[in-house]
Amino acid sequence: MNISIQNVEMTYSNGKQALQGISAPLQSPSLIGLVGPNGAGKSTLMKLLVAGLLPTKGEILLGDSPLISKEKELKENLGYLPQSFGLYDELTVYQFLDYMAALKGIPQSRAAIEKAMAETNLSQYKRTRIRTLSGGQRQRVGIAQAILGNPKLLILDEPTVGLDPEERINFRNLFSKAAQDKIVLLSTHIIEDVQSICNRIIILHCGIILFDGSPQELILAAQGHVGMIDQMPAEKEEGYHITARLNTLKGVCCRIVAEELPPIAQAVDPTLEDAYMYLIAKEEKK
Amino acid sequence: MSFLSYLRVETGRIFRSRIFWLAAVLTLCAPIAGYLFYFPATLNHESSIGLWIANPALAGTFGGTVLFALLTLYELDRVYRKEMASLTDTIVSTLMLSSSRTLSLLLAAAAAVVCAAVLYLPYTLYRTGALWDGGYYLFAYLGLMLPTVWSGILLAAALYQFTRRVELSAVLLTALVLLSMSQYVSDQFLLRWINPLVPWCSDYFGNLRVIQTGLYSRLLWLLLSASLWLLSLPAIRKYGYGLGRSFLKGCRKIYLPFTAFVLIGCGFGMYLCQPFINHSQMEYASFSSHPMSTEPKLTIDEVEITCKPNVMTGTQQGTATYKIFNLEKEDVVETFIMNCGYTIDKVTANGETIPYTDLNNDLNFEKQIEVTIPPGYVTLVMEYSGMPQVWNGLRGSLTGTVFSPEFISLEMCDFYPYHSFIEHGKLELTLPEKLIPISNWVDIEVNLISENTDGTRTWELEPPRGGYFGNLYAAEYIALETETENISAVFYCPKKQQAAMEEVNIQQILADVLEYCSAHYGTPPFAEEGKLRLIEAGIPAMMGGYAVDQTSIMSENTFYEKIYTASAETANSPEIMIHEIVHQWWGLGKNLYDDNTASNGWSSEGLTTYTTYRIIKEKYGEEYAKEHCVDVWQSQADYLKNNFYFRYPEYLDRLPEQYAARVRGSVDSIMMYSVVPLKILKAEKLVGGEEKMDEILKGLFTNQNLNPITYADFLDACGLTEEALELD
Repeated sequence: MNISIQNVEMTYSNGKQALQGISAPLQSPSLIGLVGPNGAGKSTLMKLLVAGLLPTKGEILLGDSPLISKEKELKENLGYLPQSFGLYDELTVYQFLDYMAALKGIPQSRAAIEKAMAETNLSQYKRTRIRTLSGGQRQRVGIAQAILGNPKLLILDEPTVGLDPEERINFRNLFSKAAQDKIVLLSTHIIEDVQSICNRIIILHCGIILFDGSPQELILAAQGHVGMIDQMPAEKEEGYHITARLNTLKGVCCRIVAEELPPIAQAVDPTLEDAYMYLIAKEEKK
Repeated sequence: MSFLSYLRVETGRIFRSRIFWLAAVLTLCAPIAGYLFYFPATLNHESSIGLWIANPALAGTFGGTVLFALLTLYELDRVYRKEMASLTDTIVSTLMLSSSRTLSLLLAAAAAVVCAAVLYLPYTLYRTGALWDGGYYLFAYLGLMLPTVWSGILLAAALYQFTRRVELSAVLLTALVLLSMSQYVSDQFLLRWINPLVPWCSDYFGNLRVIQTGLYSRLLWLLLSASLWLLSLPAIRKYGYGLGRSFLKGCRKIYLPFTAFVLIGCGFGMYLCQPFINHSQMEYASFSSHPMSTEPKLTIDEVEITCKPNVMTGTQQGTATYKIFNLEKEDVVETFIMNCGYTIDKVTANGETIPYTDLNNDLNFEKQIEVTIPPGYVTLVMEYSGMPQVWNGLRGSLTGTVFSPEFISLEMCDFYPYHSFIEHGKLELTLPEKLIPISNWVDIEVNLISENTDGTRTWELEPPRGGYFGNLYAAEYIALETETENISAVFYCPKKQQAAMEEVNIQQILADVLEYCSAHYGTPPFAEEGKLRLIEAGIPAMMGGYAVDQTSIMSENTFYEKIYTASAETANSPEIMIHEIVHQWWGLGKNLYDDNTASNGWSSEGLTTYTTYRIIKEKYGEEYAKEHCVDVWQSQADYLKNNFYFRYPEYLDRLPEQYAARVRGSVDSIMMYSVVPLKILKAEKLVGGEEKMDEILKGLFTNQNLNPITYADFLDACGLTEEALELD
């Protein structure tokens, strides 16, 4: 599956410009992490990709045709988990997935539902009414409906929100495995999730793409711009951005990112989170 | 296939929803209101079918429609409010999903209505007993309740899809409900949405017209609501657009607005071309408004008519053959009148097709047909057919000419294209074998001429002169004889009602009234040679009653169960029945009328109403008579006194015709039936009491020189002046 985002702009009816002429090709197989601060335009981009919105300018192509003209094909191949969603509380987990399977037109739905429940660790809740599930369990039901029928395009907006650490690791593995033959687009605030599984990162900020490349390339771009300071500065210093405060035997150490490290800082190898913070800080400074 | 799949899971989901079960259970409970306090079908006639089938079903209709409309709003809003749509709308077309969602609600509603019908079946069977009518039961629940609930769902869905706001949709629906229940549309069966017009239910004479109009109006509302719903589908919000852009984009599926407009067109056509009510003015016009030739240029020696009513469809097909001599040497355009619902299929003169014009100028019950008749002797054959229409002025009661399996009622222009200068007429009428025809005119012979192999019998009607066949009633009649010292009577009532009539000894009640009138005023002229005939007519034909020479005709609402057992403790009395019998003295024995009747209300009705009061007083006691007669007259007179249009009649002309007719009719009725009886009651006190008044009335009745009896005659006999009888 190939999707091409070409100079897409999106301005809402209230005048808010969510995306400003972004372009990116999406090809399978790939697991793409879509990261960015709140309001960067991640959810808007995802809604555009699932044809929930139409771009104000530019276009999205599915193969060689505009997405809007291939909406039916898109829907048939799509698994989507929005950031915020509701479930039919009156149904059991199985009934809900059966409902979604029918909407997706999945043949052999029973096997597909059993598989999705097994992969999301919901088999034991098969006959449990959704109204009695916890927040994390509801999130898993959301993920289960997205992966139901093994769609070729999986778009997940903050899928691991509300999950405990063990579940997050399980789902990372699940998404990673799923991405072997499809496009998985994963929007998240948790850089750790992206670092461990994504082969490509797109960083969005204020409606533009700041970075589009592999995690290694992002880390490389931050090389020499991350350092440690042994002591907390007495006053707020200009020129660098503190990304972490660490309690050590020597006291509180600070991890900083800067275009040019101050002399008191000792350069360290950047992590993906450092690289992301460096990029965002640099952009905000502009 | 996929749509069916959506429908399956949506329906399954609806049936698992608690809120659906709440709506369904409340819908099942709604008919109870029809047993307790919601009685729209028995306002005019407390029939068993009305009480135990129509009222509960209509209550269920109202309750079910409101509940399922609210359920629809809840279900449609919920998917957006609780964000289920964010999951579903990305994987399936919103149009398909909304359609299946609404369709699943329709299926759920159908299940609830069928359950209601099954649930109340045993109790209804128990209460209606021998009067059980399975066809009507199915009509009430599946013909009235189900389509109305469906239209409520479709309208609610349409409004929500347009507005996307649940509270606004609820307000609009409420407005529609209030409009449907308002007095502005109360007498218009097509405009009543949530409360179908069921002005009566008949236990003994069938309910074909109510069933036909009910089904017709439900079909109309289903069409309109379905068209609105179809039109709202493109308005379902998509791509983050508002109403306008979503609608424009949705309308690219051109079949949606096209189908919607086709359905709207069909609905509009149904409204304009409804076959049940004619387009006459609502105020009754005098017969001269549709004049026949006053100086005929031709003579019609005879007419032979063959009528074949189709009782299953309520239509008639007939052929009238006229023997005419056109005195002129040229073509003459002659006017005939016939029921507005009929159409002329063909007119021939001496075998040649000739032109005619249907003027479609509905007035009262009839319209005019102009036929160009060639000179000389002509055998004119007119073939006609159609469904007789109810006069617009009676559209609220839906009474009039009817052909049904249980009952047939025909009036003057319903038999054939009528002409008033026919010398002699003969009519052959083929009816289902169980129906026995009786004419309201005692001198019109009704003879059985053949028993046919198809389960019908052919009857011949022949009036002594002219082509006027009076009014004809046909039902499964039996004759109950009543004998008194001075007068005997025969009462024609439906066979199905015989046991009930005998149980309450209806013959004795009739005998009491006949004896009272004979003893107080003398016997009517026909008493020596003939019998008084009492005919029970079905409520599909009329409410109330009337009397013609030697015959009193009363609607079945005169004979319902509570009337038979009237006593001081019950709330009903046999007033109408007594009233119509008394008309054999006042009205037929002696007519009461004068030149000022239009203003003073003096007519046979006043004295007949007074006499009815006297009989009721004697039979059921003074207190009962005061409460049910005198107090009612007084309250009506007080109402009239305070009525703006009565005091300032010049403003009546400024009202729309419909309301002016209603006010005029009401004023005339109160003058005749309340004000005049009060004046006679006042006269009774002034002349020295009841005995004295009886003597005066007997004198008036037996005085051969007085016919009609004017108000002045009455005042002279009482020795009173007009001023003395003015009411306070």
